[in-house]
Amino acid sequence: MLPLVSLTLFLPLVGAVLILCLPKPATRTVHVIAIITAALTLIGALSMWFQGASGAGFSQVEELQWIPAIGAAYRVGVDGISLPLVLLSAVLFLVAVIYTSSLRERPRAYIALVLLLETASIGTFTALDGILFYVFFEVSLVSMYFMIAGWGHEDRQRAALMFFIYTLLGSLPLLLAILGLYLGSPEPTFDMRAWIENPPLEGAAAMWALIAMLITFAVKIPAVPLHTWLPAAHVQAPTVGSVILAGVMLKFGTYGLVRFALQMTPDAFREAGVVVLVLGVVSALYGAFAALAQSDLKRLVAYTSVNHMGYVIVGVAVAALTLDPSVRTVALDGAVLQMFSHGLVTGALFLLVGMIQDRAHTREMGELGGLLKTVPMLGWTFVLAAFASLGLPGLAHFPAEFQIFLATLSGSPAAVVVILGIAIIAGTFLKALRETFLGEPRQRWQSMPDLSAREWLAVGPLLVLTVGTGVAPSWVLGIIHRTTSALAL
Amino acid sequence: MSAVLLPILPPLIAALALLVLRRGLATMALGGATLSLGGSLWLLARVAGGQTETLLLPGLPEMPLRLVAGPMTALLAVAVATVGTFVLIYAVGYMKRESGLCRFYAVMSLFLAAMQSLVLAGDWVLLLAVWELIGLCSYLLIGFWFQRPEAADAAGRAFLYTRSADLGLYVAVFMLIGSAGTSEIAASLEAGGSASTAAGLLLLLAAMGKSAQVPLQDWLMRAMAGPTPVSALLHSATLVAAGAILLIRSAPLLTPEVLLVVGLVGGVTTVAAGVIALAERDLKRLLAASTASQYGLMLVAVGAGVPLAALLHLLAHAAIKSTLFLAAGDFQHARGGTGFDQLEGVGRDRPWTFAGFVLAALALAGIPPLSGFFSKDAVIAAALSAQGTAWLGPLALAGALLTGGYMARALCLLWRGSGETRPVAGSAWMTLGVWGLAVPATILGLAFGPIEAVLDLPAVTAGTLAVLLGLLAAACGLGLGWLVPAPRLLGPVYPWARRGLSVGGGLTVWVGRPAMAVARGCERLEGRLYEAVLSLGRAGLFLASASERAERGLFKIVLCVGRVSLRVATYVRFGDERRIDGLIFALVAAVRALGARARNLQSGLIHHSLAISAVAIAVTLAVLLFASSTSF
Amino acid sequence: MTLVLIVALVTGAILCGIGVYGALSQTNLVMIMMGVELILAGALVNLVAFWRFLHPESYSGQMFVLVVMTVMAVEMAVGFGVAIARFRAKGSVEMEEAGDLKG
Repeated sequence: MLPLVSLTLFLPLVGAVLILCLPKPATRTVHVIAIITAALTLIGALSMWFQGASGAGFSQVEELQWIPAIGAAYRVGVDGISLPLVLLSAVLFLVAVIYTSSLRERPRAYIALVLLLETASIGTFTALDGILFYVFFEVSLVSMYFMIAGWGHEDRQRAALMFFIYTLLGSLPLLLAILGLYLGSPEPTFDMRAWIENPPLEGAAAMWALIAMLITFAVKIPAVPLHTWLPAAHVQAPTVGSVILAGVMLKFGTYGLVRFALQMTPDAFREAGVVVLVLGVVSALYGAFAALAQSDLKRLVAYTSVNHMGYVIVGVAVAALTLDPSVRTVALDGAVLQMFSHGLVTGALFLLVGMIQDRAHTREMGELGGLLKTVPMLGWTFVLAAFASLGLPGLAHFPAEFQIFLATLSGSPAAVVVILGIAIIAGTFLKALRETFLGEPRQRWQSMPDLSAREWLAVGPLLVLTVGTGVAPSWVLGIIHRTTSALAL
Repeated sequence: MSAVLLPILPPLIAALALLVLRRGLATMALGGATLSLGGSLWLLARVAGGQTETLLLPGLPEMPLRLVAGPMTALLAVAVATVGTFVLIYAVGYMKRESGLCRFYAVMSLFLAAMQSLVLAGDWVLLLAVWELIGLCSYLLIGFWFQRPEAADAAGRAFLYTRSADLGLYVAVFMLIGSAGTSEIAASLEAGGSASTAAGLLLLLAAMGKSAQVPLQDWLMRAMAGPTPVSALLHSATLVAAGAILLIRSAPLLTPEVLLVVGLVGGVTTVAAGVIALAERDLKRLLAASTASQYGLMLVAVGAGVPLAALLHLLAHAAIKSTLFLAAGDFQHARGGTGFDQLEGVGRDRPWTFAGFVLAALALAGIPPLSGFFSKDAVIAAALSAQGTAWLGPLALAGALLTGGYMARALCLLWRGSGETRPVAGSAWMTLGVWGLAVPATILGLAFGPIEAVLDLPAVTAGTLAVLLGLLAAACGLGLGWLVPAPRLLGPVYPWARRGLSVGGGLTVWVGRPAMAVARGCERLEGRLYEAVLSLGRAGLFLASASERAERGLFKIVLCVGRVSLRVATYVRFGDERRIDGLIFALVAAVRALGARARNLQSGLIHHSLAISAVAIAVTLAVLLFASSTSF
Repeated sequence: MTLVLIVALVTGAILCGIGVYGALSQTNLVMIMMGVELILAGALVNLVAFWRFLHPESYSGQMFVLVVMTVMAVEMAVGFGVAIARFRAKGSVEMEEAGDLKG
């Protein structure tokens, strides 16, 4: 029996080390190694996917002694909540290294960072040990910081500073919460399974732990008002950085919200559920309105992320608040699927915006215009991704948002006002499409080339998955549903 | 494979094949539509006896997608397929010289498939999904000429209006699923319950968006920027019809209060849109306003509690309105535009098309024995018979009057005068399309009897009074419209009607601007938040630099201390022996001095020793005495 | 009886005082030794008086008196020995001149 999870987890790291060890490799070699590594990782993730996850608890668990004195061990495994996210990460990173294969500026360090980030991401989703989780969580921040600071756009120092402040703010509370859980458990252990099985804290201690976690995850998700790092980081980050940041790293927050906050302090979460719900509703609406006001295409997409992740918060909060298990299942199904869909769709959108920027060297919608005629393939893929993002049926976001809203109306009817967000986001994207792609083609962009093979390979798989998830969500929902319906809170 | 899929799959496959293969465009789309027509006819034949055909498809967990074909839905599927087929036949001629045909035919086919799914949807999830999909299709089709700013604007506006109204459908669907515990439409309609009033109103909101009812009618007129076959399809059997179909299907759910509101909205719309149509100076926009007006009539019928009348009018209207639009497209080709000033006298240039147009126009006005006569009579009878809502009847009659008026006006303007006809030959495809729909528009009335029998819905037989009033209204309208110019007919309302009866600038002002204002407010707040965090960061940096300065100071102090001790060390090392030895010698000297002094006591004289002894003894004695006296 | 004891003690004290005066005031070694003898004699009177009036049944008092008398005799012998040796060596027993033991 192969240790599939560990193989998948450390393959990218091996690739990164290999790239760093090669004496003066050609740029091409570096990219080829990166693509092969990412592809192998995807194969690993797929085989994990086909192994599947049983309903309750974790599957494919691998365990090794690490620091026995304090009960910390190397424990990894998956369930229906983490498995889609692992697959999503593997897909997005493969797409990212394919897209980045045209990079000529210090590719070795860049690729090594990307692969390191992949290990950190998959590790965050598969870790079943508090310490291990925290380590992966932090490593991802570091590599992202260097990606932005080293390969970002014009104002990257500021963005990096922003990122740094929030990282500083955000990570410590989680560590405190993890320590609290460790100290609270009857026999000291960092085993997350034990924490989930018997939530170690109760009363005020649980509430403090929850508050600490909420701070960390709210920064990460990001939820209003702790979101300001996101647009800044996105605008300055290189395209691949944005794709990974939005597609994978934002999920750390929502995943943590489910895995830690909801599963390890369920009672406290139920008490504080209304606050979280309000946070989610405000995030979703605020993100939508802020997106509507943007003139920078990349900022616009960044703000729609705030909106979409707001829906996830709403879903999780409803799941915590409701006493009806069927409503909870629907809410969590929606929330997890929303994470998956958001990764695909926003990943595609950021790639497309990056492609536009590569060609036009601007992201201002006012300066673009009529691009649908000039670069039809790019244009139509963007239209598809935009409609997916505004929640059109048949595309990935619809089943997720439908379930979240359905559960919201059954669980906490007042919060259904969040549904206004989908109309506002529709307006946002229609405005963006109108200004960027429709209308008379401009002389200035006449010679703009359409999608190249590399770009097709990057954005194509995401769109195929978007349509696939939208038309037949059951291929993902099945595995999510098996876990969420067995979840005992 | 279930028969339910027959109307849906062919256009869907055609759409996908068109996108992949990019050849055989018209053939493939037409084939799909024709097969869909055949499939829906077969389906109708199978379910005409009142049975239902059901198909379950995998959807969300515990909410499978259902396709259900009953007599009504199958009938609607036939209507959709018929209109779709002939519109596509027409489009072959109309779109001949356009580029981007692959997109056009693919989206048209997709549109058909989506509409068939909407008609046949048996659960709310699927209904909602295709409901939104037809919104997307109309966006793509209205924006077919996306390089033209007005088309791009119109497409966005149409999607945004309908999407915003769709929120009503979303919430209504959630409420219905929540209260019924199942997503099946039939089951949740029966469940009813306390939520049904709210759900009904929300459904009405969604229907108002799609069917362009007041005050959401604005987008429909602008949607004329799309190609004419698209308008024909949108207005007759697909997008706009979806709203009315939704209300007809959910009629069992609607409580009296909701019915009242439905009737009110329909009545107001039929009059308002009729007035707008009367004032319109563009044929296509006139037809668009007329569409809103006719759907208003259908809502009146639903509000009166007779959805059957609405359904009949929907069917008749589908045939009539598509004929009118297709004919208008032919005129447009002949004159290069659809403004009435361009179209003067075009009827004489295109007699065959004009004949079809006249037939359809008279049918719409309600002249027997054309189809519109029967359906409109049913609506008027329903309105007159409505319990407790006496104002429904007059509103319906006013709608009928206005219909006659604007149709007569259009006929008059198209027939009189003369204009420059472009040397563009009409196309046989287009004429075929017009007549293919004009025939059902003419004779569909004869089929209403069997249809009523199949549907098994409560009907209101049109009394003599209703027939007479309806005829009177139609005749008056036609006469007035033909004889009196619109500005005089409408009087002071005319300028307002020209502006689309918008109140204070319409929805753009009432909804759009506040939304943008909120958005800008958010953006400003965002900027402040960003600055705040940044200044926090700067403060952090300052703190960092301050602590760095402090660090540097500390470093200096440490260095200083180090230097001092180093100096001490060297000092000590250099003067090591001298200093330490000197210290020892000093010690020795001091000890010696002390010894010398002590030696003074040692005089060697016995008296001294004795004296010291005596004194010492005396002192000892004294101490002892003192101690004993205090202790005892 | 107590009166008799006090008389004895006063006698002893007077003897001791005369002895101290003699030892300190005389410069001749022989005279100094006589003073010392008188001090010891005072002490002996005290010892005998305490034994006789306080603990007549015990013999240790008498024994102590005998030991002290023996020590006096021995001391006298040593003292006169020193005086004779000094006289032979220096021709004088005047103690004011004898500073040889100064350290």
